[in-house]
Amino acid sequence: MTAAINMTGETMNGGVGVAGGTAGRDGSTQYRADISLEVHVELKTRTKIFCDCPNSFGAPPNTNVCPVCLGLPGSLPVLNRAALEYAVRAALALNCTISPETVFARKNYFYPDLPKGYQISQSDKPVGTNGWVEIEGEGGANGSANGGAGAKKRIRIRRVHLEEDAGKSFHGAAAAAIGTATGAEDTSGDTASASGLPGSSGTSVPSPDAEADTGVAPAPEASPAGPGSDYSLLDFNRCGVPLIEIVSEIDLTSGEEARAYLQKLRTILSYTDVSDLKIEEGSLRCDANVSIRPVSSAELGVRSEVKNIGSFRGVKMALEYEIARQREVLESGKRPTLDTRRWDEKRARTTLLRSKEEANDYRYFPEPDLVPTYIDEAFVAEVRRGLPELPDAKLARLVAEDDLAPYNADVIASSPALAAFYEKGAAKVAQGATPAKVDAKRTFSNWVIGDFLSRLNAAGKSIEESPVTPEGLAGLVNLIGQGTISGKIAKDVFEEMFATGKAAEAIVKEKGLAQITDSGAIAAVVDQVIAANPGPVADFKAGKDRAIGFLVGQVMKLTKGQASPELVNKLLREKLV
Amino acid sequence: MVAGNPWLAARTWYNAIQKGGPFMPITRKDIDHVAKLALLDLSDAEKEKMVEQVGEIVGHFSRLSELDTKDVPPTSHTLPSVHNVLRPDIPGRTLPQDKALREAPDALKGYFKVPRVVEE
Repeated sequence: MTAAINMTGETMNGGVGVAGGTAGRDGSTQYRADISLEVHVELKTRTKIFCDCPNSFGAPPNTNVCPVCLGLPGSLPVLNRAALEYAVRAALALNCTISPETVFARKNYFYPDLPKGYQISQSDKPVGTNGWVEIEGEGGANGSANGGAGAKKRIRIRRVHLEEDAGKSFHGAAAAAIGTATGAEDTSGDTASASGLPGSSGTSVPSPDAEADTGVAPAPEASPAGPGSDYSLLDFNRCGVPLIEIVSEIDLTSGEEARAYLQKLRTILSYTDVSDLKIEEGSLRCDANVSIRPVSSAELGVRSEVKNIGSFRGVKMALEYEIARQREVLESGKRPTLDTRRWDEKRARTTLLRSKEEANDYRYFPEPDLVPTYIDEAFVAEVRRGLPELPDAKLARLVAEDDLAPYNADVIASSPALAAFYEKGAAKVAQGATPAKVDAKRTFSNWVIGDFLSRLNAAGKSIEESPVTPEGLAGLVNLIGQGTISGKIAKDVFEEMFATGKAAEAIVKEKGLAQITDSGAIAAVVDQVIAANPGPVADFKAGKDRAIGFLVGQVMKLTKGQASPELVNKLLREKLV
Repeated sequence: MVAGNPWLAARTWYNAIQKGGPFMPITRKDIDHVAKLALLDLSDAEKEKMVEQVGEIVGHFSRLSELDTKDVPPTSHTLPSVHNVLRPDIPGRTLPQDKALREAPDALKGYFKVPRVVEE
């Protein structure tokens, strides 16, 4: 949740792109970048994709395993119905065509995180093809802050396919840390000693594309001299967890666009509820392919593949780094090579993992242990019916029906939890408000994306953990709408609500914060202020209309902000004219 | 290109044979490549033997092209009537950790232990 909120902030500062179309250093050549992303998303089924081991994060190592996911001889995979359904749901949400027949294939490679020696994936018959999502076009980040006027850009999705995740490996220092951790020495039944390890620290990115036989530069920083430096440790709990891989077309042209695309995927998928989408736990992972070419060239340049991207900001930074690096290579007169590179977020640079002499040779062939799956139209229709309103549609509806500013609607629609909060509260706020000058839902939306979100972020809480309920916030907004409290007092009341969980009405009553709407009481203060400020009074009478602001301020001060500003203004004018 | 990729090679042979073209034998280069992918450490003599034997196998399968498959749709499987074998998403039994690790050549603190692999 917090990530979605933070990223909205990012959107607003975004658009610094080193991007395509920038001039060479001497101004002679303009280059453009061509980018595609491969995004892996772990599905939150209860069990793994091809066996009934639990799919859960953080269990002691090698306890959620069975002969199938350990690749023991004679074991046979059987497809999890829920994994197929989730994949279809995600593919539909991404506007894909669902294949009437989908087939699994073996992707052959050797790496110890996959004990079978191949990954069961999909090749020529993926679950979904030809989808798309829309993002703000270049420069649209600012457009959205100004009311979402930015042009939309459609990013095509080539395919969405199902596959199994690999195990988790620990190398170098991380392996050494496990090896030297105090605890029982022998492994049998000793699940507790390893379970206290932070699941993510020092783990490698799963490596479905890894090749063991290529000359790879080892990462020196991960290998201090120590007992761990000569072995790697493997936990197969994640092996066989269902993944969907979402492959975009080469439609992205800058790091910022790639970031926006990834964020949009995450938003859409969060509505489909097929994954936890936690980048930090590895349930959403991203590889990027990028090449650059002179804008005058119709032919794509030589690409590099960037792995290990671990955050939304990282996608943008890694791609901008790669684009600049490739430009330097080109400008120095060399030819870029077909590289696989690793993003090092700490050092903000990519390092060479391997140079590909030839295309990967995974020798895909149809998985003989699994039969084809026919996906009939009735099933697709049923899954489609189960989809909730998706973010683009929600945004449009909030603008059209609730009359929200497009920026507000965009922020609210970017998270299902926030949208649910807004919609629950908006239903109440519409009922309670008097026909006020300001539209109640608009005011409510300002509170939701303003004070409410920033307070939550400051407290490090998710929307689900908020001490203020949608109905509670609606109650506060209704008090403003009814003129019981001013917007300024409302901010103090909100703080109190957040701290105590009490209702706005109760706090206002308890603390006597209701606006003074008794004109007699205010008139006395008004007289007092007029008497004490002959200068501004004279100014106002001389036609300086702005002088009344000062006088209103004085009355508000004396009434501790509880006078109705409209009433004060009205009384002052009556008395001074 | 063809020499570097046995599957593409097989398809190319198949296509060539379909057209009544010449049968392309397996070369030493194909064997080198497949051995590398399969992490097989073969001696020169073994490789020469493989050139011959794999060549014979592929040659044998080329006889399949004598069949008229004009009206047979391509299939990924040999059991045309079996499809949609799915299981419900209900957790079952797992192996206890000690059993899971029992056949491992080496283990440590509940993990499989393998020679150091380079960081990916």
